[in-house]
Amino acid sequence: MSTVKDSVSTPENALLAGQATPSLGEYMRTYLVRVRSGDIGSLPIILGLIVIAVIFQSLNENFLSARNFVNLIVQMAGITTIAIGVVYVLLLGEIDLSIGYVSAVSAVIMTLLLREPGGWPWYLAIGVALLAAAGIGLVQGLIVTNFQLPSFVVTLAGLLVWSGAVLILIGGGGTVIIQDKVVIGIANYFLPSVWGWGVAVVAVAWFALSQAMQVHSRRQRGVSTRPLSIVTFQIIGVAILIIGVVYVANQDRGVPFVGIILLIFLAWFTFLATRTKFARYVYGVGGNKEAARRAGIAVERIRVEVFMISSIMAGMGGIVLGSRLRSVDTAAGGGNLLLNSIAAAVIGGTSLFGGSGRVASAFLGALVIATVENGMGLLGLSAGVKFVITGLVLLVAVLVDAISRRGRAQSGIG
Amino acid sequence: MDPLLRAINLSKSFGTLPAVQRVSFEVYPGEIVGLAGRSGSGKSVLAMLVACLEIPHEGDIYFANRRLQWPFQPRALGIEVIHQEPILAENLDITGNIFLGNEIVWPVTGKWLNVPNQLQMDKEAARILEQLDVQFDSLRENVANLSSEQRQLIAIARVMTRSAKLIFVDEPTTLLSYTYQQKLLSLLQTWQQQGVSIIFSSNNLEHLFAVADRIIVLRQGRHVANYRTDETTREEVVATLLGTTERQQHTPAIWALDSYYRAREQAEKLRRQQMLLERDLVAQDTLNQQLIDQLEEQVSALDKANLALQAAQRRLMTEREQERKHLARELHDQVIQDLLSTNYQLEEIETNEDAAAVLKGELANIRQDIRELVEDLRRICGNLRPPTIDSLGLGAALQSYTRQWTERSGISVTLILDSNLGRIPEPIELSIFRITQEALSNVRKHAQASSVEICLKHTSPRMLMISVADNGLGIDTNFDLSVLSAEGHYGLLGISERVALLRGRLTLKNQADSGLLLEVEIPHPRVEMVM
Repeated sequence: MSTVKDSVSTPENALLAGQATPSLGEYMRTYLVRVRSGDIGSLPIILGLIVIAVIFQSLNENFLSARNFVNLIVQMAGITTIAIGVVYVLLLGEIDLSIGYVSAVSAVIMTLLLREPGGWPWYLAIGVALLAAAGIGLVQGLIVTNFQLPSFVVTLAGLLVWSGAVLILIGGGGTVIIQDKVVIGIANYFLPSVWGWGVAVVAVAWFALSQAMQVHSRRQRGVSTRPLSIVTFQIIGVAILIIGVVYVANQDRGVPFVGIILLIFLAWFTFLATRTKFARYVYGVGGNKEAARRAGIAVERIRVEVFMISSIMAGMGGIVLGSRLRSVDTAAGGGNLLLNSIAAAVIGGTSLFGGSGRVASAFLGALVIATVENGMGLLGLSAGVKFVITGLVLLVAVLVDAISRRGRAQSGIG
Repeated sequence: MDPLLRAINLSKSFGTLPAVQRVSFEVYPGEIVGLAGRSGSGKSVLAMLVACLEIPHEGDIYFANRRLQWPFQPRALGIEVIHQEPILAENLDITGNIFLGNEIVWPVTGKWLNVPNQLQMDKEAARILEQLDVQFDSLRENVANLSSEQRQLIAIARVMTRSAKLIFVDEPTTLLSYTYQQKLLSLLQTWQQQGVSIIFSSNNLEHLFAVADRIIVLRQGRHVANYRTDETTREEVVATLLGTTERQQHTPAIWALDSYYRAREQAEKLRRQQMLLERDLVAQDTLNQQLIDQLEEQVSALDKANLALQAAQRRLMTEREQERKHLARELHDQVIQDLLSTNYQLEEIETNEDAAAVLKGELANIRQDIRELVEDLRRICGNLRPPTIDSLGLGAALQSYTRQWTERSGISVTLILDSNLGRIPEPIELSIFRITQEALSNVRKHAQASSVEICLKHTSPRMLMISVADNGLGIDTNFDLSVLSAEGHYGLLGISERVALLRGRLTLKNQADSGLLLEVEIPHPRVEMVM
């Protein structure tokens, strides 16, 4: 029996095949058109980061040192983790104001469980802390969905409740020290150089493989894909970036362990937000709740699940932050943690109105905020100036987004 | 047989407005139940209730003999609803919307981590869209950029992604063009044949009567009637719709409805016709263009043939002139010389002393005859080939000819020649000479004129004008060359042929005072001046 495989001539494929692979020139032209019409993606953030780096380096030569670079990774880890959860909530067009103190609650629970004597093993303590965070998300989500309340109000109430809970749990002591080596290691362990290079190799290989598989699968479906030269260029670019990061980090204490955790989070939640059925539902509900409901999606369940993701990531961030300080005190989860986390997602390009945004935006936004804070810390600026500048950065980011959105609307792209 | 769906006493109101009041009905497997009612009669609310988008204040729905608990998941039960207005997820693409809530997932990923199989879904979506006769440039297109009709078709395609048991079709035709309305109706029948039950809500009685087995009539949120389609009439349905038994009242309504439907259908058909016509027109246009091109080709081929023919004729004429020249020379050199020598011989005989006196007289007569003969032959030769034209040119030839002609005919000729006539190519000179000859001959034969004026001059450097004007009778104003030639008068025809061969222009008109004016304009190429 002979099988004739002709995957091109069927009408389905004809419909699927928008165009064949464009040439490099065509691809660059379309990219330029998109940029000109306002579809700029991460371009302004990256440009902004470069500007920020140049300014701080000119003001303080320690800014671009290996030591400060490693510090930056550790500093941004907590906000990034929390901001990943925020991206999901924003995708639905909701808001979660309780994340700051939820992170504190789970950090406090973990710390208290670890407290000697009779401390629990680290994995159980972390597990219970995250379960608690998930429970908080579940409760808040159920209240929002069952009573059709605005998430702003419910989570605002949560903010007050959980800030109170932190005070109650910590009690009179004011500060609880973390002594568990593993937990402290989360934010304070640095990989030996060899391990750092190993991670770099794995990361580059994984990125290259995933890109190649994507191109291959799109080719097979006859869908338009990026030219091979661009893909190669991107892989080489990412490889240089990763190798550069590892190299610089190895000049100092090495790659922070928390950086690896961050990488895993980013990869996993990007996957969850792009490839899965769950992702479609989140984007669908965020774009048009009624449409999702009519399509038979359990809209309320999706919303509850997203609030749980937000709370769990907040709890995770709280643990990272606690590990970094080696203690939890009554000020945990307070200050500008909440607003910085939301700002990170928004600066990264996630819409506040739902339906559009990427997990990577949490990382980029957090990088901007951490860079600004770090730089201003080096310059020894006062807290007031820091707030003003961070606020202005947020404003500029939102302005850029709004202007590019107007350009997109005019040019009819997405 | 048990009904697939049984709605009992469904009531729903919005605020104080009752939308549906205690409505009960059943739908049996494989049945199309039409739902008629004026707008606001509760049809769409019923669709919302069956789709569980609204929860009724009272009443129950039994589906497959099971009482449904509110809220239920209609799609999980096999209930699909096509709404009047499609509501799609704006930020997803076409495939994403068609399969929203019903994604095809990779079998290996399991329930917890459902990763959709994009390839499979694209294929399925393309297949379904082909069934619906819809074409999209790309399935990756964001639905926000589509027309309402395309969006409605996507909503219909969504229903076709899984095998439903009951499909509630809530008046989707308003957004669809005629073609897709008909497509939907045939689709309903296909679904029915597959055993699917259908509730088909429509304002269009034509559509309801076309496909429905039964028609349920709603009025102001109440279930007021239930007709079997083949046992009722539209009049009856309309009467129930309007809630009146007064024939006077519902007859105009039916008329209005009828004409409305008809008008809409006509409009749709017209639109389609127009579309087809436009397409035809485009095709016709290209066809016409092709025909025109072919015609042009043929015309240019004809032109070429014509030119070749004219060249051949010109050659022929030249050869004829050559022939005449030759003939004239022959006559002159041979015949005339012979006659002259004969004459000399006769002279010798005459001078012979012995000849009789009578014979002398005879001979003198013969010699006189021969002299006349020679004169005649000379004249013939002159006509055959104006001898002056070769040596002295057209002007001199015309002068000499007109002088002779005046002597013969007694009609005075005034010849006005362009002072710088110069030499023109010989064929043209000859033609002009012949034309003048012919014109003068006509004057003598028909005009009864006493004087003729011939004028030869350049109207422009490359254009020569010959005019022959007489003071005779003139010409019949509506003469016909073909009639003249049929009657054996070739003069004018010959002139016109010569003029045509030279690509000139011939005009004949009666002068204001009297007599005919013949004008011929002939273009001629420049003759290179030999320095």
